[in-house]
Amino acid sequence: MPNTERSQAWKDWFREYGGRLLLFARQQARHESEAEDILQEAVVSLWKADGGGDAGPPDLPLAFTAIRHAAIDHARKTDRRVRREQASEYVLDDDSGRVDWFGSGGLEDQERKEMMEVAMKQLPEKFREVLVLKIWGDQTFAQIAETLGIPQNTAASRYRYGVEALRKSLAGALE
Amino acid sequence: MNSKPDNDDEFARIEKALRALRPVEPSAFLESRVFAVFDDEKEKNPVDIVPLPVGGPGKIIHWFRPIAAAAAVAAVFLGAVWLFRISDERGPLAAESKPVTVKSQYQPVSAGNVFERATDEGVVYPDEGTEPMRRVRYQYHDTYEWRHPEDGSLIRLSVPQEEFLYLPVETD
Repeated sequence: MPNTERSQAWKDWFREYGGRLLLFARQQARHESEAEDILQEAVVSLWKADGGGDAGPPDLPLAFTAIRHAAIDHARKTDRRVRREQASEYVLDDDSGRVDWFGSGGLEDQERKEMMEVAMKQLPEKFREVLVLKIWGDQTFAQIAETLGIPQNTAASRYRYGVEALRKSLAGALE
Repeated sequence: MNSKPDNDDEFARIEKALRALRPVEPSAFLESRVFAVFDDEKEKNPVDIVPLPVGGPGKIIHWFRPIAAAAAVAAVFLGAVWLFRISDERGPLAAESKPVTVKSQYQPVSAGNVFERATDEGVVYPDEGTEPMRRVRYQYHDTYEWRHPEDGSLIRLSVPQEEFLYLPVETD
């Protein structure tokens, strides 16, 4: 694949899937700027993975796995402990006070969208990352298990618990 | 207690509502950073890029500590000295890298400093003090290029740098 064609194919791929990839990167990070750094590092590593050959854009499971690996490497570089198996509340950028994960399109009620976003951010990280991969990443539980390095049954259970937790916190809000 | 069908309906309703949410697209700034990699200079100069034998074969050094960055600059200098003294007699360093025969010297093309971004990391209390300060992280990288006069091959090194600036926060 000529370089210009390859470059354009990757750009088109990033435009199509960038939102979903960034959403998953946010699950792996504690700050918005860190999420963007992780996503960039992951995409760059995939781009360079074949030594500058002519490989086309990766499929989503590989991209999500690369993001997770980039997040782990990023945490090591910044010399911070990352607790991935414990519940953690997403830390918003304290200068903006709020970082939107979702656009306002798709739901008529902006207030309801914000409630759902808040509820998502309050989920334990281990449930949230499975939800993101399943709902917006269109991944199977087998793919999710491979990306996160967990058993498939665990992935399915966390998904179930995550949706159930949202159901409780949003009780009546989605009528 | 809810019956199972009611729970299943509620479950499906939650899933449907979640799927209706659309993840926010990456910012234009992030997109430009990523696209800049896709539009690498290599495409404009289609020759092999020969990695310097520092930090591991075939690897561009990336780390973000000023002290480590200073060590990288020192390694660049040593690598440049090694390159400019290459002859037909192979030295021990050459034996560690991919076998590339360089019969004439690479010529320095450019050296520069590229600002990447400034990130406001919020209010902190440096050194566990009582005065709040706003910490801003500046990230940039130093770039060096050498070109072979005969075949046009290019060597490029990018050394990341990071600095922190602490700004007083008005508390009145």
